[in-house]
Amino acid sequence: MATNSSTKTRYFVNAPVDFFFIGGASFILFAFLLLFYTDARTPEVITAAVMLSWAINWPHFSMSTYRLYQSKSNIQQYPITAYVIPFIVLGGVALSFTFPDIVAPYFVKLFMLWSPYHFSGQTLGITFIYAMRSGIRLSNLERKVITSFVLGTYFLSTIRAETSRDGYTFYGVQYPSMQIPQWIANIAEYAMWAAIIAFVAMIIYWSYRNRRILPLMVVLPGATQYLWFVQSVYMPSFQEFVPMLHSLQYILIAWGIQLKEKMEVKKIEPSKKYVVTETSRWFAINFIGGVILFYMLPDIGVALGYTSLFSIAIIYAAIQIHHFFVDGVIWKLKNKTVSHPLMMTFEELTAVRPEARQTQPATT
Amino acid sequence: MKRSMRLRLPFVLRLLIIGGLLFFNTSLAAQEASPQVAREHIIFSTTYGDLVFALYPDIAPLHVEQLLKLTRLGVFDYAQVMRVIPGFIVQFSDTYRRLKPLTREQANAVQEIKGEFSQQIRHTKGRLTMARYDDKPDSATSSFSILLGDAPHLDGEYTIFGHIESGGSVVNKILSVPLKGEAPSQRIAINRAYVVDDIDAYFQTHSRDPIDNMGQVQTTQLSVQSPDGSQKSVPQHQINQLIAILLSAIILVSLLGVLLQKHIGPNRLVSLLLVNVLIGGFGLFMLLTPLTASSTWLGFVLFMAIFGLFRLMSRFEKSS
Repeated sequence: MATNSSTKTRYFVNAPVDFFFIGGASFILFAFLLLFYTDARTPEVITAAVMLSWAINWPHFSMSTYRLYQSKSNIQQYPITAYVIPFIVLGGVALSFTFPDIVAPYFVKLFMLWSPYHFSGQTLGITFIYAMRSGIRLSNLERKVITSFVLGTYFLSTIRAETSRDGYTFYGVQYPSMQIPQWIANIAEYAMWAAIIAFVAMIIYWSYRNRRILPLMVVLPGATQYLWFVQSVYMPSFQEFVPMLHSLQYILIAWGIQLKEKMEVKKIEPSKKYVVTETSRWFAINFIGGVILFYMLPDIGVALGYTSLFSIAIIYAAIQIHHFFVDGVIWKLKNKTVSHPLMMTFEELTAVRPEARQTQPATT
Repeated sequence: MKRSMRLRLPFVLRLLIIGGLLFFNTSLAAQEASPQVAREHIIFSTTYGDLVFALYPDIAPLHVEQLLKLTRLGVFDYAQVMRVIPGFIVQFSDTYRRLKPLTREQANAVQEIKGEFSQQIRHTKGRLTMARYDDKPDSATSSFSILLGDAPHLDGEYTIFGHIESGGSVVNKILSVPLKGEAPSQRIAINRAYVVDDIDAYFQTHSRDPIDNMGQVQTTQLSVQSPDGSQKSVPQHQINQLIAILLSAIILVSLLGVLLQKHIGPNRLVSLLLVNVLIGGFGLFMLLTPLTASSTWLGFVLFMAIFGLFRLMSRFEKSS
């Protein structure tokens, strides 16, 4: 693992803000619920999670759609995602409404299995972004160790859920379990712990070799996912907030890239005024987008004569499956048009500072 | 004359035999009416209130021991009602289905119990009967049912280990939840399960909820789906329609690729092929998942295949 230390470009905003968005909020909330509140899904917990969904979770889905469709060049770059995937997802919705007992449970289940995988992808992406921003070139082995740790938590949590002998329910839609034997879940747990040991060993070895501690921001996304997927199963109240916390991570990155890209494309001079107005405009658009997607779209199903719960289940699943596709293409770090703006700093947006322009080249 | 005597004698004999059997049955019923009840009782605090279970340590010592142990370890916390068949049973899910996964200590405690089948005690209304696999007499672990009516066909085949002592109205509330197949359409949770050593002290602070009217509630159906999510009663023509639609979608996407191949380039063509993989994979996923119940490996193989599908999708519209 080569290093080219650059603390100036490590954070999008600054250490406390980046820490809070990427994982600090998760740890703070977990500790608060554990020490001062409850592990149960109380009505208050559910209400708070729903309220936060309006402000954070729903806009995050709108953000990825907005990012894809806001410019012709994006659409031209990803035509299958922009033009074909919406029809495929709509086909899934139509089939779910037409065959509510045959297709709907599996449409919902596909989303339920894909969602934690998508979370894992984001965790890995953010880890690599912060490594890149910290000037760390990860070796193949180091990338494999980090990936094993992150996917280990995904495997354990998902396989454990799939050991159930009966199904689950998502907004009234019952979907089946794959009935994986318990001993496979036990193996998945051992494998995850082995991956954790390897991850910790890698951190220690890296710190020893480079005579400095591996930056916290490189470790934080993985640790946060461990909290979400493994520890949270003993804390149902915290689980209610996990999608919101995933969205919170996303918002910081999406916000940074949106402001940086627009500033460069429209050749806008950096200023605090630009940051405030563009942030407000961008967030307002995506807030409204979130409300349209999650609050208004399910009404279509109701208008067609389906129950609101069933309609919500299918539309939510569809929005998220579409989101997984869109996110899968618009954040590829190997793409220079993505990795370059991902190196932005808050200072670059607010005032010209020569040292802030010394960003790291894309290494992933 | 002789003939009529010959006819009458067997008739009298039959009466005697029937009378004897009735007497024998009644005395058996009288015998089973008072099995030894353990000092400890198990309380399930559910979404709709408390269920109080009395236990028969003399009839099913292994089962009683296991259930008390599991309750004390908190294994039943966060479990739920999994199956309701009006007039027959209300069944609690096995503990692997809990909202919170079991800790290692809890999982280790959930052991298969040897069947304790008894002809001395009958499957009658209010009795608690242990669930097990049909083909494995010694496969009971933690799932059990409250009988809503008499079920003589279970006698000697399933283990009775207690009866419901209080919670008749709670059971009726459970029965009033509309069903999807045999599963409640909404989650009916066991928020907490615990053991009470002094049941009289418990009833000093909790009112008794008799079970006399238990089960006298009309249950409604929401759909034909069974609790494991399989569609056993789905008409075959619907499955055929669905397969035809999915195959048509695959053909359409393939045709799109053929028509546009000169314009879109190899990377986009690969993405269209991946769309086909997704459609076909989803079709297989729907067809194979219901079969996982009868196969040890299929569920895991299917899960890994789905994981592979997600990995493949990350190659979607890969930059050249």
